[in-house]
Formats: sequence, structure tokens, C-alpha cells
Amino acid sequence: MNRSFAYRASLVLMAILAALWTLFPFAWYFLVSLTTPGHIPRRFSFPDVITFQSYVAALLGGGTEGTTANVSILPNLINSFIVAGLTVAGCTVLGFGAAYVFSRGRSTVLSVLFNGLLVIRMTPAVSLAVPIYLMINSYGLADTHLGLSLVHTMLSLPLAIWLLKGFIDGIPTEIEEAALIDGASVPQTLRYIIIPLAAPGIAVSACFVFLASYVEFMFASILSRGTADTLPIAIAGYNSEHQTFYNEMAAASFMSMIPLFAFFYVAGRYMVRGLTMGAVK
Amino acid sequence: MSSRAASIARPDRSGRYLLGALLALPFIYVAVFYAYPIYKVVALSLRDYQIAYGIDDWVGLDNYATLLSDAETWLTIARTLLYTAICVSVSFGLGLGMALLTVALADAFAERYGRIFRHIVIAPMIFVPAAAGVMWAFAYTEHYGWVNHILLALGLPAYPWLVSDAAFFLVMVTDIWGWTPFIYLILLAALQSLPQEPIEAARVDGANAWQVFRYVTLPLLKPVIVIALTIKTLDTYRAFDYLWIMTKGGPGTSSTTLNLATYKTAFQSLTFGNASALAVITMIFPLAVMILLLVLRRRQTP
Repeated sequence: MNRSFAYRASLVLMAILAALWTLFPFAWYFLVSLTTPGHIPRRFSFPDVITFQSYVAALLGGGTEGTTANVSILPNLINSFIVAGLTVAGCTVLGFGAAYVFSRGRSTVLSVLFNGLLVIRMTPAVSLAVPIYLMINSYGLADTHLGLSLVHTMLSLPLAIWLLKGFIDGIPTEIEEAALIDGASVPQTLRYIIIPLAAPGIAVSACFVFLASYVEFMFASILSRGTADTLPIAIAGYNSEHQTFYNEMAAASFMSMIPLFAFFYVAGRYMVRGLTMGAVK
Repeated sequence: MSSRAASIARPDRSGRYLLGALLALPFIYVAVFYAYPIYKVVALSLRDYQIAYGIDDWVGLDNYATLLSDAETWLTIARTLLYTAICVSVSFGLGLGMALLTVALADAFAERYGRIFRHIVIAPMIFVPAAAGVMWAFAYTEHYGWVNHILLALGLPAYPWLVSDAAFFLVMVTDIWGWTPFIYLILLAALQSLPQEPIEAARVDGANAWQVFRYVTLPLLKPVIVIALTIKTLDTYRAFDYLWIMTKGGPGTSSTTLNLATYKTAFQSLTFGNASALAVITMIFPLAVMILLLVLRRRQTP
């Protein structure tokens, strides 16, 4: 392999360009989040004082009048976690048993059903917006956590089933066969063998489902009108036509990435599997 | 996989019923929250349904006729396909380039540098898309954004980017920035798990770096590339967040894609019948792609 100085130097140069492309947009935004609320420089300059006032104002509301929105994102954060939590529960409960059957069973019908789930993943969400909006409204579930999580569960169910099946595939069948021969019932086999062994897979699938719900914007925007607004709605809401509190918007944006950041430590290495619904491992 | 075929020791009858019920569970859910809405959107597309005026009349194919005779609809379709084509091809080029660069860095320096570079490249992925949308919108604002700060530093006048004709393409930049890591991660994983023997063999035979890439690496990557491009194409076609947050489809309708048109017709104009017809038109492309894939797959495995 060519390891000449010119080769190495060009690699470093390209790496720096790529790093600038991905990181530079964050840099200015991050500086703005650390500037005194209400102060946005009109030219490149470093803030005179580094302050976390915008973070406090975004999280708790308050702050100097006229420089902050005086709205806390805490309720939105809680909404997001409740909706995502309900969605994880829904996807796991609805999806796990089916993932097990898909993993162990062999038939054309099963493989058609399994691949059919892809159709949901590929359907433009906006195409379902009108009927789902009417449905959720007619059940009286508009602007509720449950209403939004019912929709998010539908959106993420295929992902959950595909991921869970991938993990259950990795559990050797000999153990459950032995259990069945020893007279264990199906519920016992699931409860004492499959679920414990699939626990890491359940956790990874839960992470993906949680984040999919956490960042979802379109349905959150049409199904909520204030009380059930999730975090993405609150952040997009800062960018209003009348007055935008940029410092606070930036602070809220950076705080909103914490769960995604945490996720990388838990399930980062399963990222590719989740992104391709298990098609690439 | 197939060696394990149906090797499950026979569960008893009640066990089989339970497994059947477990399998049925998600599909009942999908029937209620997916199949029924699909049926409903097709049914609504044949009606003039305006909730605010209490209008709900059967109009047959009128909604479609009106839409298809409107030049704006065709422009919207063209914009959607243009957005998809540009974002997918540029993201793919950048993603593949950065994946190769990661491997080259790890190879020329140390494993560690490849990993550090990987963390840098995927940074946009750990930002909530809505937050990335407002961040980029802010970057283009006339007085406060860094894009204009650069222009000012170069002695050029500031420009109101997002209220200009450039807006549509600037959203594409954001989309490319935000989703290149998706393609990158998939291709990198594939590159790192490639068998090394054919590559070594080609090198020993005197192939240069380009020839190795073109005639060995690329063919080996092909199955993964097909998967990545398919998912990315359909995801980009569905794109909504960045466009809506950054431009709301404007200025005018210059950045309105099918998704935004459907959304605006439904939730701003409150003409649900028209919106449903647009929603049905929107579904034609993904449906065509999926049918094409099925046909290709069947041809491959006779």
C-alpha cells in the first residue's frame, strides 16, 4: 500500500474537510447557545461571556424579560418520554410473540407476512395523515399521549418485529426443544428461556423504537395542540415568524440530543442493523 | 437458517393456538392503524370533504381530474423527484467517499483514527431532525446566520437565503448533511466486513487502487449498496421535517414537494378530499419501487 507522505497528507486533508462539513454547522449554533440571551452577534465573534442562562431559561422558563420565550421545555420533554415509553411498550408487547413465530416457523405465508411489514416502513407517512387525524379525533384522543403513541406504535412495529426476529434467530433452538420435551408449555418456554435470552435484543429494539418516537415530527405536529406537544414540536416552535429567541432555541436543540447521545453508548454497534431493519448486520 | 427449519419440538394444541394468537396480534393492530387508513384515504379521495364548511359529497374522480389538469401538481411531482434524485445521489457519493476514507485512515495511521473519524462523521445523526432544521434555518437568516457572516467577512452583501429561489436547494444541503451518515454507516459496516482475500489477490496481481476498487470492492459491495439506496430513496421521498421546518414549502410553492402539498392541502386549506387524492398520488412512486424490487428479486431466485 502506498504510504508516502503525499498520500497521508491528502488523507488528512480530506478528513479535515469532511470534519468541517459535519461539525462546522454545530459550532456557531453552540456558541450562540452559550451567549447571553438576546445577544446574537451580527458578525463572527466569540461571546464576551460564556453563560448557561439560555439552557436554564429553556429548561425552566423565566430569564430576563424580552430576551427569552419564558417557556419551559420540561413539559415537552416529559410528553416525549411518555409517548416514547408507551410506544416502546406497545411495539414490544405486540411484536415479540410474532417475531418469535417468524423466527421459528417456516412457511410461505409467514415469509409473505414478514416481508409485507416492509410496506408500512416505506409508505409516506403524510399519505396516512388525513385518515389517522380523523380517526384519532373521532376516538377523542387528539392532543393526548395515548393517541400519538398509538400512531407511533404502528410506524415502528415493523422495525421492532424485524429487529427482534434477528436477535431471536441467534438463540439456538436446542434449548427450547429440550424444554418442550421436558414438558414445558409454550408460555413457560417463552417466559423462562426465550425472553431472558433475547433480553439484549429487546433492549436494542426498545432503543430504536424509543428514538423513532422521540424524534418523530409530522404526526406529533398534527395530533397535538399544546398539552401533548413533544420536544421536536417545542423546538420547531421557537422558530416563529414574530420573534425567535435564538439563544434559547440553540440551547434547547443541544439538550434534546442527550437521549440520542446516550443511545450510542448502549446500542451504537447495532446502529446499522436498526437502520436497515436487519437487512445488513 | 434453513438447517433450523421447523425444528421446534411440536408444542401442544393450546401452545399452537397461543403462537397463532401472538402472530395475529400485530397484524390486527396493523389492520386497524394502517390498512384501514389506506382504505379510508382512497375512499376520501373520491369525495369533496371540507370539514370546516360541513361539505361531504361524493365526486368520483373529480379531485384527481382537477389535480392532474393543474400544472402546479406536475411541478410538485417534478420537485419531489428532483429532491429525491439529488439528495440520494450526493449523499451516496459523499457517504461512500467518507467510508473509504475511514478505512484508508485506519489503514494508513492507526485503527483508532478511523474510529475517531467515524464518530465525527455520524455527528449529524445524533441531532434531532427538528433541531437540525431550525439550526440550518438559523444559519441562513439574513442578519444572524453564519452563512451571511462568511459573505460579510469576504466583503460581499448579506442575502436572505431562505426567502429566495435558492431555498429549495438549501434544504437539500441540509438533507444531505443530515442523512449522509446513514449511507456512510451502512457502507462502512459492509466495507469493514469484506473478505480480504480477493482484494489481496488483485493487488498481488498488480491491480492499482482504482482497479481494486472498481473490479473487486464495488462488486462485493453491490448487494449492500442496493439495500442502502432503496431505503434511502424511499426515505428521502418521504422527507418532510427539514422542508417543513426550514421553508414551509416556500417561498411561494418553490420548495413544495408532494408530502408538503398533501400536508398543506389537508391541514391549512382543510380540503381533506383533495389532500387524500394527493396522498394517493404520493403513494404511487413507493409502490412502483416496491413492485419493481419484487420482480427483480423473483427473477434472481427462480
